[in-house]
Amino acid sequence: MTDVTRRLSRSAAAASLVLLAPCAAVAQTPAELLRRVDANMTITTAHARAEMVIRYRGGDVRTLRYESWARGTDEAFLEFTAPARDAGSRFLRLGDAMWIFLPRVGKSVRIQGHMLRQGFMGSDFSYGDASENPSMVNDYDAVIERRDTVDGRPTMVLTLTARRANLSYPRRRTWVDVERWVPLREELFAGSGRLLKTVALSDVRRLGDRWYPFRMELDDALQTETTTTFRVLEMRLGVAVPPEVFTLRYLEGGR
Amino acid sequence: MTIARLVRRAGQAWVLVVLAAAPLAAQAPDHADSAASDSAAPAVRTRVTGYLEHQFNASRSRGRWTQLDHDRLRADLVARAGRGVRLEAAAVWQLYRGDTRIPLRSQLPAALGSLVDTASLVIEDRHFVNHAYLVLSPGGVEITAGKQYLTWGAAWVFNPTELFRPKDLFEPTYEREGVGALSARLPLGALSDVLVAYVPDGPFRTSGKVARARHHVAGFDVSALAAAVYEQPAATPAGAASTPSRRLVLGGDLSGEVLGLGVWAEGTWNDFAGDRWAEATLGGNYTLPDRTLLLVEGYFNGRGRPGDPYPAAAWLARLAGERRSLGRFVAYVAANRPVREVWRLGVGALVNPGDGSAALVPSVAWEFAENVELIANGLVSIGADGTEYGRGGVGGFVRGRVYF
Repeated sequence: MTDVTRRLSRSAAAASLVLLAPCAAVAQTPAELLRRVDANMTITTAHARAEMVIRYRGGDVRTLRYESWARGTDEAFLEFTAPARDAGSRFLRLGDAMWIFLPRVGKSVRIQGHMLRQGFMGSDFSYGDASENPSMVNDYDAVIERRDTVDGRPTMVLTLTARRANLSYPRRRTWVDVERWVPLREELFAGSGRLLKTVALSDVRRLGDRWYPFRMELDDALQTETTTTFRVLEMRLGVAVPPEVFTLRYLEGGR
Repeated sequence: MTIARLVRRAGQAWVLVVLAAAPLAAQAPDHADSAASDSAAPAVRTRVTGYLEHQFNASRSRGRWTQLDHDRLRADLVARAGRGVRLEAAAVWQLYRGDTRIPLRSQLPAALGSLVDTASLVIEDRHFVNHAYLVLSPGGVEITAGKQYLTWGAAWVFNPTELFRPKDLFEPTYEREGVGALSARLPLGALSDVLVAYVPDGPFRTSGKVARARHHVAGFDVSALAAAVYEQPAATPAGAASTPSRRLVLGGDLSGEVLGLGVWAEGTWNDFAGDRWAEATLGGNYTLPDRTLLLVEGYFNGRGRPGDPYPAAAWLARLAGERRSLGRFVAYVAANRPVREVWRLGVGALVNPGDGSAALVPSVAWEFAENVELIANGLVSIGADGTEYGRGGVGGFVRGRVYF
């Protein structure tokens, strides 16, 4: 357990309520559960090397490798390093806005509006998924649905309903590991209740005093041709990232 | 710092796995991962990539078939020699075969063919440096020297603010050459900067001078541009020599979202050899639930005519890439969607409503292996001889490209 978890568990244990429950999470409100998840996933800066594997129904596989830097919630920079066809393609995200740099055209382009619904480099992950940055605890109302087990881990299933209208996923169901405060599964729905995407997070590793998923499988229910797996190959938190990384100038100049 | 403040801007956790875009603006010290506190500043490194491309092009116009075949080898080098010093270069070798001598009359309306008599456009093998420039960033100012990209404009196809390299309207995203220039960029924020560029061409007086500023305001990317470039007035059939004249350009662009749709606008006001005109582009995109991307762009050319016939000088200027259109109003519409795994289908159309002509460009791309692209583009011209898009006949190309 993380220090935060231990501290909260200790205080919860002092209450008679927790004596009736097999785990500390039972004492949590849905919002507190989300806060615990957010606190675990919250970092100041990060640097990662990762790969994105797109598997096509016919058996074809595409593997893209990239390197990314992030600072806080709103700043991220990503550069593809492989395959050769995509090497040098770069993305900048600042808040909800996103830009792509096309090296052989020598120009950056804003990804905006409905373009955000296109697949991110052909994957099941859309540009909108990458650019949208909702606050789970502030933008969603949560209800505890039930307890469940995912990959042997104890989870609490939360049903989330959007508080504002312009979110990509007005409803979502989330399986939260109640000991590591990591979501292990998500189902993302349209306002109509139609399932849009399923997300499975696994290979959860300890990074300092937090837990972090190193593998994610994403399946777009509306796009049956592919499934996409993201795998973090290396990740460092709390690194010093030069501030100029998160600028258009750097996007167009690159590394 | 309270937990509530920490999670004020928290995002969906799984997105982090993709972008490592960790949620949250700030963090209590006890959240730091002390095991990895070294700098993630980009390291010194060199990267060489490139591709080999083969393209076969065939077309039929005025009852005559022509073919043009080419091999293109491109090698790109990117090297970073420490912080604030970078060089980028690319060399291209392009070899042509087939009908490499194209009679100019075949590119013009029949009524103008006699003006160019037997003149031909000769396509020769090319070996050239696509771009080669050095970037130095002393004290925050970024100085770029060499053949560099000076490509601007938010529009997809018609870019009035693009001054130096004409875009292939039938393949607007295709790569273009750099421009020999010296430029300096002063950053004024993450999304704001001021750029000045000097483009040597003949003596100082006739060299290009450009200033461009961009900013992000109210969710829109906005830029403003002022330039003085020297150009030859449009070639005349007689081929008479003429001295370069100054073209003053004031313009700008913006892009952003309106009602959830991506929109962009771009325009210029021009003063050239006694001729003053405006150009403007307005466009937007929309994605259907099946991920079909629809794109529409309208272009106003103040130098254009409402309909045919168009003057010979305008035809020659467009042939040379100096004009984006002959008509006053033209439009580009396109639809594009992934189909069956690694296929992508698209169709684009250039339309001139003034003369009733159009050029349809269907396309299919097949990525049958990693680092391999196979693209087939068609071209179907609709309209009478003498109209803007009506004389291209039918044709297309198949292009295979392997990256390394």
